[in-house]
Amino acid sequence: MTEGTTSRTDPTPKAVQDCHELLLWLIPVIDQFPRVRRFTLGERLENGVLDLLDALTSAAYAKDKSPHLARASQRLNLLLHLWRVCFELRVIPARRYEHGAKLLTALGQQVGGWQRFAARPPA
Amino acid sequence: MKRLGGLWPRVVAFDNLYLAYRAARLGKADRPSVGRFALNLERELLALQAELESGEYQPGPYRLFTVYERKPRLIAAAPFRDRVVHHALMRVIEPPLDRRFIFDSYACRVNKGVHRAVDRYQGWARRYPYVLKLDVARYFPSIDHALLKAKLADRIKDPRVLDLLGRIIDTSPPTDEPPLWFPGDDLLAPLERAHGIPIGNLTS
Repeated sequence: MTEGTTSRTDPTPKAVQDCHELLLWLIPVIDQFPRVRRFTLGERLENGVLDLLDALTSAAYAKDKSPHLARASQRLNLLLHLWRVCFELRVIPARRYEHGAKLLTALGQQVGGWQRFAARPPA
Repeated sequence: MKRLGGLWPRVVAFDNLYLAYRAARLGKADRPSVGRFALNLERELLALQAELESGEYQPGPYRLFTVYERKPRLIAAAPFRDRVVHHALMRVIEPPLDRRFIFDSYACRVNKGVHRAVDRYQGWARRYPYVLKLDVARYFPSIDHALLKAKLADRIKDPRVLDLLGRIIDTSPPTDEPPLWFPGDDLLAPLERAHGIPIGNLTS
C-alpha cells in the first residue's frame, strides 16, 4: 500500500513466482476440504488462482499489460472474499485464514505495484 | 500488586483483530463505514496489524455530536477502524482489569448496569436509615490524562500496550470544561494539564 516502494523496479518475475507458490500451498489445502465444499468453494478457489496465474503470465509476456493486470486484481478481490467465506463456514482454521490472507494481500500489493510500473511512461 | 505483562502479542494477533472486528460491527453492520471496511477486510486488518506493530498507528478524528437525553452531552464517535482497535485492546485487558474493580461498581461493565445498581441500592436503602446521594459533576470531561495514565501503569506492565492506550487518551477531543484549580496550583496549572476522555469510546 505504500507508494513508491514497489514501483521503482519491475516486479514481473516476483508476482508470477508468488502466485505459483500460492498454488503449491493452496491446492493441498483445498484437497483437505470436506466433500460438500471441495467441489463448490474449493473448485472456485482453485480455478480462481489458476486464472490469476493465467492473467499474470499473460501480463508478463504481453505488450499491453493493463487489461491482464486489471483481470488479475479483480480475481484477487474475489479470492479474498471466497477465502473469508471458507473461514466463516469453518472450513479452514483461523491460522490458515491468516496465512492465506497474508499471501493474497501481498500478491495484491505486487500486482498494484506492477500496474503503477506498467502505467508509467517509458523513460 | 502484580502488574500485567505480555499482553501485546495477544492484542495484535490476527484472530484477536478479526474477533474485534466482529465485536465492533455488532449492531452496526449496516453502516456504510462498516461496509467499506468489510469489503477489504483482510487488507484492512493486515494493514492495522502492520501499523500497530511498527508503532505508526494513530487514531483518526472523532465525529462529535450532542445528545439531549436528560441533559446535553457531547458524544465522540471514533472511526470504525479505531473502534476495531479499541475492541482488540479491551478483549485482552478488560477481563483482568475488571476483576480488580469492587463488586458494587456498576458502570460500563459486563453483567452490571443501571438496573442491577438500582436493585442493589433498594436492598441497602431498606436496611439503613440514611442514604448519601452524590454525583460527580462532569466526570468524563474532567478526568486528568496524566493521572489516568499513571493509574493504568500501576496495573499494566506491557510498555507497548501502555503506549497504545496513551495514544488513544492523547487524541481525546478537547472539552469545554472550565479550568479547575486545586490547592497549590499556580495560575496556569489547570490549562497545562490535559483532561477529558471521550464519552462514547469503549476504552473510556
